[in-house]
Amino acid sequence: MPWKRLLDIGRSMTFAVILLSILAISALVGVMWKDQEEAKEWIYHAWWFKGIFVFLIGDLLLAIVVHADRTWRYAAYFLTHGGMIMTLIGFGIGGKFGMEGYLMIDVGKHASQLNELNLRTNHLQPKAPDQKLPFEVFLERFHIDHYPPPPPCLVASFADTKKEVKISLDRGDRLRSPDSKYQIEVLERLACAEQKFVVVNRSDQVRNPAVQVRAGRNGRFFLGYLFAAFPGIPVTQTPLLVMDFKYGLDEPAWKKRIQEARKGLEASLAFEDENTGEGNVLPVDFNREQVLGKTGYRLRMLRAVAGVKVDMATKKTEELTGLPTNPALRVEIKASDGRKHERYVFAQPPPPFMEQKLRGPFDKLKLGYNYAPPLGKDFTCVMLNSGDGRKFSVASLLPSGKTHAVSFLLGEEKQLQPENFRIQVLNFLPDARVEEKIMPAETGGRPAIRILANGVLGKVEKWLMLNAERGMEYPDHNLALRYVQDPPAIRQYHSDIRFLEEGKMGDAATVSVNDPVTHKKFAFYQIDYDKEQGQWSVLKVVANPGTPVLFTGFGMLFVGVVGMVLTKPKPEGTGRI
Amino acid sequence: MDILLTQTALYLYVGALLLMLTRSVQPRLTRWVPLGVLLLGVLFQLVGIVLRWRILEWTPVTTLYEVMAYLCCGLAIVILFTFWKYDLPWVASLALVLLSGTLSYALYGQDTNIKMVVPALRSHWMAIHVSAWCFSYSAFSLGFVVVVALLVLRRLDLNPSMQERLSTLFYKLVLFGFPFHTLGLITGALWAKNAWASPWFHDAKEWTAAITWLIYAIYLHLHRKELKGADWLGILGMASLVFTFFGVNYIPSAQQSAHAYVSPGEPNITPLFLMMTPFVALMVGLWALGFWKIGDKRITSAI
Repeated sequence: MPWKRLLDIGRSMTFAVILLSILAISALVGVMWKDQEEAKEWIYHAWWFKGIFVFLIGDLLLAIVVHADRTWRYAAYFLTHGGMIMTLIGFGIGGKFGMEGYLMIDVGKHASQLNELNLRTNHLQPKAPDQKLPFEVFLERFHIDHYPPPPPCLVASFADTKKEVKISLDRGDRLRSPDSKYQIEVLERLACAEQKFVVVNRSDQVRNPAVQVRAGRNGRFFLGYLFAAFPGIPVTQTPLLVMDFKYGLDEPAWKKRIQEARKGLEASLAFEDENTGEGNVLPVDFNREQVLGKTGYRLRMLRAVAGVKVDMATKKTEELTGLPTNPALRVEIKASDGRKHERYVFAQPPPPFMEQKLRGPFDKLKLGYNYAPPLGKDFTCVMLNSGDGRKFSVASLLPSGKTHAVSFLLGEEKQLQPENFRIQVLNFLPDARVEEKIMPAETGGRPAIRILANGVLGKVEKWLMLNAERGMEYPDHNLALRYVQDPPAIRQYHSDIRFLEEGKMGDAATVSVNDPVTHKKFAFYQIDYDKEQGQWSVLKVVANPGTPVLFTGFGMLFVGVVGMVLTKPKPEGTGRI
Repeated sequence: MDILLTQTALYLYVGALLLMLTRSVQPRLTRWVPLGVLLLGVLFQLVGIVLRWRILEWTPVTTLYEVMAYLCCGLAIVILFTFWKYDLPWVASLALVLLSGTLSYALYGQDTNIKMVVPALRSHWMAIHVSAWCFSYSAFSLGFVVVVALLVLRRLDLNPSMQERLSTLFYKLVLFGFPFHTLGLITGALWAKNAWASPWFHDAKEWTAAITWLIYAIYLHLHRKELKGADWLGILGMASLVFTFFGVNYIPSAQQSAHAYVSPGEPNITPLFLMMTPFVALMVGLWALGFWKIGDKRITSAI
């Protein structure tokens, strides 16, 4: 009889092995499929794939019936194969009769409309209007638990291996890099320190001349430094004023001046190309693309900002308005091969020119932003001139482009155009440098450590401020060290919700990750949240009638498999399992 | 401190390997010496795990390093008990190569820093889930080593009694690992249900774990038929196991997987190849020997 023959095939172990093999091969194809959404469509949710499971259930049923026996071995066999059947049926019920969706709720608001997740775009989109919960869910509060912040540590980056290693400072004051090439010693620790940039003179040779001046008019003066030189640039073209921003000036005046600076009136951008030696100063002009001499680079100035803050935790850059704490230009640079790079060029720290090296095709290009705070309508800035024969003068640059220069003697007050502007040169520094100083602070500071790195090129000492962008580079250009404290890690997310039934506030519950809440037949899971401001939360809502069957199947399967291991099989050929 | 203990355990495992190799050529050395060193290594590693557990206040299986170290501890225990009962120095040496290689890769190829447990991992299912995988992976990995030796002997047509012994050992190891693998799949589904609302996502890692389960299920069925070819499933099973653990991270769909330890950049799977090299070399080399029929009977006495 053909049906008997079919039955024999169906209940045979060979058929089961063939089915399991087809299942494994099909699943492997699904795994290798690049777009998993397509894999679901063509394999996992396809009729033929489900058909394999139907055949498998039939085969398992037949196997249970055919091998029926009153032994412990059969009990284990029954539980294993019956557990498989229950598991597959549980999944089937869930797929056929289950319901799921996402609730996106703002804090202080309620929602019942379900959304679905588009995995390709990773965005939620509303389901059909009738896909609603029979009650509303009100989000009272969304909150995050954090772990205690980790202790600060040293982060060592190695150029040769391109690896970054964290070195714990709990191990004492004498540390070793993991490759043992460097010894690092912590010389001093400050719990609260502040970073200042001071101008110092390094030698008596005229290399980078600067003067300390007191200048101003109408009773308002500033104290600051004028730098003459920028390597490769004619000094007369590099007007730059370094000054104490806070001195003698009030906030509204600064805001106004920043607005003027944005118009490109009082600033310039200097460049130097290490490959060609080409360098020059460009006026700030936001309207056109400028050619950087013969370097092959083209540059477009996008905007000027009063201050830029870098969040060390997220590496996100935030543009600040208001006080010009850290003025910068946003520029787009284009290399000769067409590659583009967009970045900030900072005016400080440290003035006068911060060498801001770029990567890739731009790594030989140095840029500096000369942010010269304006002194008034009738002239733009004062500068230090070094003419032929090393005769120095201080000068003012007038809107007409002309300069008015006067020679000076230390301590002597001089008159500069425009009228009433007086300048007094307090000090002359032939080889001026801007140096970073770390000093103890009572409030508003950050921790800092002074370290000594010792390697094949000798000892190098440096202060490292916590989470500062720039750390220490050992002279071999292989080791770089930073002092870093990671932000506290997230321990748990919670959504405090209430169920609203017919307009009345009902039960309160807290949904957390791995700790869902069930209300009526619906289970609520914490899935996503507003990562920037914590103002909304996404809960997954599931109603799955197949869960009890599935869990029963899991239990039977596990007990059965253990039983199969613990009971001895009958010899092959007896027809028994 | 826990890293130091794990490093000491690694050196002890390497010591056990060298002693086991010595024993395979010098049978006068009792096997309790290498096994004693191995036991000492296991104790060191267990103390290391407990210390890390106390620091983390959670089962230390939250990073790739921790999972691999945990796995190695399980593998060391399974090796210890297996070769306590079975005196097979060459096979034991191969198993210790696998153990030392994996632990070296974990210690020196992975980030060993302690990371705080992220909310998705804060589930009590995790400890059961990973522990179950740990024993199933250990048993199947050791089974792979045994099956390599078995297939080599079979190819060289040597020592039928040893072939029988190895075949039984492989079956027993699969029988030991299979319930743990089943438990791993079930607890994984229960955990996923608790954390992500659904027990099955058709995720690449889920399916590759299921494929591994299917391969060993097929083996257990075929073993009843006493098909010698079924032993080849030990190789296929190990390939599937390694693919589930590492390989899934590098397939195109990994970016959509909730399980993959994927980070941008080029995958570094060189250490994995290095780890597998002794086995592949042994298979290929002895296969060639068998092909030219120049097998030496003494090889089998060592195995």
